[in-house]
Amino acid sequence: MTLLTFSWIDTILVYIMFAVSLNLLIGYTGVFAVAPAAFGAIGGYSAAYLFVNHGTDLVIGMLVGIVISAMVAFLMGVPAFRLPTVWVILLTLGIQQVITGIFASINQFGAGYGLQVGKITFFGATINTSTTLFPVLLIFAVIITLLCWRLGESPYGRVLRGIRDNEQAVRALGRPVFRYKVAVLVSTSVMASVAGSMMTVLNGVAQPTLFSFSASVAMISMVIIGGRGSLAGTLLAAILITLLTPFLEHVVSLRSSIASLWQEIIYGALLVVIIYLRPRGIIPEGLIPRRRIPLGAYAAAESVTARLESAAARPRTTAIPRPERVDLDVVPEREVVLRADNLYKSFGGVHAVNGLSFELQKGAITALVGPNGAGKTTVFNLLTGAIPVDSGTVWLDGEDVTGLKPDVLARRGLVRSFQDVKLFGDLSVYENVMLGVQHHPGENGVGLFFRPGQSRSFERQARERALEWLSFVGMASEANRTAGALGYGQQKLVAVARVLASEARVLLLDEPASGIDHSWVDVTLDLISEIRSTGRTICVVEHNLHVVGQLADHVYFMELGRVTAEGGLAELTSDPRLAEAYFGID
Amino acid sequence: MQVLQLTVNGIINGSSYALLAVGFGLILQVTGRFHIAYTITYALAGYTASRLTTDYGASFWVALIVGMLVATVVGVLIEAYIYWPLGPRAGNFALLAIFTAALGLLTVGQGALGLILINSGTAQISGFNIAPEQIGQVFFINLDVYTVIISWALIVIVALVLGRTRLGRMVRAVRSNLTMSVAVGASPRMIYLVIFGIGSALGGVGGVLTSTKAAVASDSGQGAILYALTIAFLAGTFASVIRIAFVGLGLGILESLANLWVSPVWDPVIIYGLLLVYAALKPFDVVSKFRRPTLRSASASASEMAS
Amino acid sequence: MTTSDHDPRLPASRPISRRNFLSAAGFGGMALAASPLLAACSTSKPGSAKTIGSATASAASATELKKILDYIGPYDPKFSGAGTTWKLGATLPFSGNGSFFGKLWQSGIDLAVAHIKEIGGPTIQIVSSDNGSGDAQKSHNAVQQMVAAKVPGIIGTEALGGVWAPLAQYKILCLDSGAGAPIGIQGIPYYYGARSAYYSDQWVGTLEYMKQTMSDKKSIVTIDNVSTIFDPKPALRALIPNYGFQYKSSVTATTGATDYSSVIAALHQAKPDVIWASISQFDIGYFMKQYLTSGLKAPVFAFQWTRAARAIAGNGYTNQYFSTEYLDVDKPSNPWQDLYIQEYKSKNGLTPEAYTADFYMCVFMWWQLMRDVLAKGGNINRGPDLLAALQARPTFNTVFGGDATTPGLLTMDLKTHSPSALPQAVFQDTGNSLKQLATYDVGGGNFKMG
Repeated sequence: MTLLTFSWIDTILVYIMFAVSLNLLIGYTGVFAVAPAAFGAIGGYSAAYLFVNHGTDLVIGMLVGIVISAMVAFLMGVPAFRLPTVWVILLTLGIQQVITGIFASINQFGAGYGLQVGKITFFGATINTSTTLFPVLLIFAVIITLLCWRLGESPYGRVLRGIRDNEQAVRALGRPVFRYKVAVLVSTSVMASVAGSMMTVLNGVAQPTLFSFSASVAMISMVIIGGRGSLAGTLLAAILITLLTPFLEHVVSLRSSIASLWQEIIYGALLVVIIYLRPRGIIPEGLIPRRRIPLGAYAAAESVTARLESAAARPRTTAIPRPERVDLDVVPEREVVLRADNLYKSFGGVHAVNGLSFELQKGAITALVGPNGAGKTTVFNLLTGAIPVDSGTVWLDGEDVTGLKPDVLARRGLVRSFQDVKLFGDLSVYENVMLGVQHHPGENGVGLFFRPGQSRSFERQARERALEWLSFVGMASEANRTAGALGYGQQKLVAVARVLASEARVLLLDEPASGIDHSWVDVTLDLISEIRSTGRTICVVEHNLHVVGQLADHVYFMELGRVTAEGGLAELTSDPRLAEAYFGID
Repeated sequence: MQVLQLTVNGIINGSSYALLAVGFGLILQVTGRFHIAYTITYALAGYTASRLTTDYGASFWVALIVGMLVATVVGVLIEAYIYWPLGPRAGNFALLAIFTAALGLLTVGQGALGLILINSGTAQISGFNIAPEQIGQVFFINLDVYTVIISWALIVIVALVLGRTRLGRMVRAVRSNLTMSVAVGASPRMIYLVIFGIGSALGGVGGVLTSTKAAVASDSGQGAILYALTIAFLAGTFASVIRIAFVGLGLGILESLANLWVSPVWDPVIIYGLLLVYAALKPFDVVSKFRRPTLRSASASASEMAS
Repeated sequence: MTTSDHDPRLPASRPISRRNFLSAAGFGGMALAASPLLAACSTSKPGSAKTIGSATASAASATELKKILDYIGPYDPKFSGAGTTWKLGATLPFSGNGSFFGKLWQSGIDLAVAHIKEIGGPTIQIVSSDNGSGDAQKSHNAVQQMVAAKVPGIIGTEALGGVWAPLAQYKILCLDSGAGAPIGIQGIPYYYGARSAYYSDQWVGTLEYMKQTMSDKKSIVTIDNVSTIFDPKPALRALIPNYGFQYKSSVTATTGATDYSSVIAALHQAKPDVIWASISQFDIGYFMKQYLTSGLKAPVFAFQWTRAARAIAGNGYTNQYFSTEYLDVDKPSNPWQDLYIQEYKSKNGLTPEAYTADFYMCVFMWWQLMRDVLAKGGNINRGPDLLAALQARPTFNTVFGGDATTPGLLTMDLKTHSPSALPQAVFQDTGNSLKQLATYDVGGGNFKMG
């Protein structure tokens, strides 16, 4: 018995369709959906039902399946992606049970025996033999793989992998995460539906067991064993896992009826062993490196080490040289870029932000200081729309932007950084920064597939810009490293570069100097004042008074969710109450 | 009358679901493990009880306790020797890697049980004299009464242990913040093992009780685990033990009452269909419009926001 | 795929002992890891064999076995196929929840293969493959393996998981002795039921029995699975009143269910006089077990009796009725049946049951087709030749039914592809045996009490 009969190759091709498309959802986007087989059932039963009752060609059946799957996926995605992530698991599990339950319980769908499609035609030709079916399966497997490759290994895929690594950060960088997730869910489901039609043709029958929860689980295990976000891994895993059955039949050919059970036991044990030995998959993401960018001149750019050295060489007490010292009291008519009016936010009984008002002036650095729990980070969340205000108004450039989502505000030029960095750990440093670059035409399906030239040339520019910003923060030489592998201080610098790459006019920096080594602090300070010199408006939340003193043109002091004092740092520290309560000065 | 009978059936089945869901849910909540091999401990407990009662003449109650212990030990061993070492090596892939390992274990376990039962098909638990009971026109069996009592007793004990003891505080610490929990003196590894022990024990008891009513087969518990998983998620990943249990009970009653209108074949469609409707409406806040905000839900939403 | 050509010294299906299991498996290294499992195997009792019959029979001598030649109908030694090795396929449930049945059914096949060889027939090599208990993907793979192995025919089970299309395509004849060819899946090219069509073939005989013995009973409620494309309710609604009963309602149970509380609640509501439980394999055992303590007293008619389901139900089976293929282990109805029962006991240590005998019979049906093809000078390795033989002579002597001197008769209906004649009987489980109450043919003909 040869291992690789046509039938097994055909089966592999169908599983490739399922697994590769599922990897886009689970592996690239990090959405743990557990119902690929259910969407396969929609495709399979659409084709079978139309063929059995109307003699319809497979093409029509497939198209109907695609439309229904897309609708079901859309209807599922819209609520699911507004809920905590576990709901995706629950909803997909529900879809799986409902869809197979319906097909298994209705006589019109053949109930347990299913619907026979032995002589179904594809564009008028019968495809019920290996020689006629194989090319069709091959074509679809190749198309789906190419589609997934194009979607996954492109600017579009970079956004998806960003969403997987840190959804909040992607949103803060101006990407509509919700829309991306729904789009990927719909695309994956449509591809699964096509795969389901093919599964039905391959088996000559649309039957509930083909599309059961355990079929879904087998597909999921292909993605996981292959390696999350690894196309090559998924292909290999689909082949290996499908062939494991005939291989075991070949090797464990016991002369009795218990062979199949032994094969199952070995199959299960191998799953455990493989995942134990290769917990990130047989071809983990990053094993085959994505494109490394040539650093060119940037390799020689001033590195962070050099900056560190110059910072260290500078006497501690000396103030950082600033290009243009702004004295807000002297220039009161300076343009206000962002204004918060009377913001309120409470969680349960706790008033986190309680009637807060303040403004950011163009080209100035404003600092928000105050004790822990004063509501500083919440202010950033409110300004950027990460959480809705209870009442109050946020004005950006004189326009009311209250209630706009973070991605919308980011596209309007208001971008924040996070206290805990939130880099995309599995992306390279330069990819992290490229996600800061806005308006990439390759980040939407239309641009990706219909204007590939435009996308490619923008990609080159974006890469160039990412390198510029990386060299600005002194990290260009690390551009090709995986972000997660960097030290914390370096990560903070990359995060700064990422925010800068957005070219936003207003930057909200959440504790840019916290948690990093003392020697890095001065490097960061240097950077921020350099940024100001480019005319950006900056707001920092900072604990470190040294930092505030060095940087801030204007300081707001927050207590219990509202501003209780403002002015220069010197003024605030001279207030005896504040000095005692917060600044620790007797 | 049928409503009453179906409600009682729902309470009986719902109590079993509650027990399994609490076991599975605890493991999911505290360790974040997608432990679908839970089915194995369930079936193994039933099989142990079967061997003890039929081959060694052990009393049913001894078999129930030994079955529970076997499930506990196997659950703890799985955590200690498979999941725990896999976790750190898989890093942020841990959830998926452990899911796959659990899937492999499930396949191994079901294959092995199939081999063990190849000559008999199923295994029976004897030693419990099942007798019919009747109150008015409502029928059930004595085993059902024990099932309900034992299930809820265990659920309450687990809830008390987690709510009132030092162990419980440490479990909660580990659940809410693994890194910080070390600071308050909890050993995450020990807590994980304890949780796997408790979870598997509950599954084991469920396995023995259900198998006494039916029998032990190679696919025992396969359907139950899907329900347990659904209930655990439906109750919420921060839900208390009691809340999970009541969601389980509710699901059991709902499933049973659905039979007033449709045949049991439609049960999964009804249950999961309602789940879909509930989930579809949830983000639009239809449910909470009918509920006064409580401090608990508010603080939960605050913690969600903050994260 | 497993290939088992029969070795008479080593019956493939004798209860596993720890040693032969290991040697068969060839997994010395795995012995340690698997030892608790193996210990379990070596001591587990095969079902509740003690309940019905006991395994004390001794194997028949060669001369005794030769008598089978008298039972199988017209026989010309010239076309016996002796000396030929003939490959046939079998798709059986070796994994999944029916794996127990796969092994059991294989024991029927193996016994027939041994008998045919012993009495001068060919060496039949069974190429068996796993259908995953009706899993479509596994069934598909199994059928594809049959295609690859170039077998001209298959002993089918579980309706091949619905994977029928390749049969006509590759011209492989399938005789299904597991699922038969019930209404809804009849007339499929190259697919024939080699047993009674579960369970409509038993309707009339069972109703006739009820009419003659249960005049005090009026209403019937049926329990069935949605497992066929065929909805039995309209036909039953029309049929039942003809025998003086009322078809009250039908309760649908989930295939593979173990909890019957909702079904029983529906029965409490309907309060039928008689229950027809048209559910099979383990399901009927689970139902009967829970029915026993339900407080309901109506007699239950089921349409399959297996030792495994009885083991689940225990006393739940006692006094209930089973309308099924006519194999009476206490009072064998014909000499071939007698011989079969003795032989099966001696080889397997178990009393045979009708379901397994269907598979034994199926192999003999294949042998007849082979002989007929040889007699006509056809090619036994071509499906169409075998199909032509079936169409030319669609009657087969069978171990079921018959009388003291003659075996029973199976006649294949060439239109429905399901037997139009095959002896059936109504049995009552008495707690330690199956008592035969009435006999009839599929469709209800030749009904006789006692």
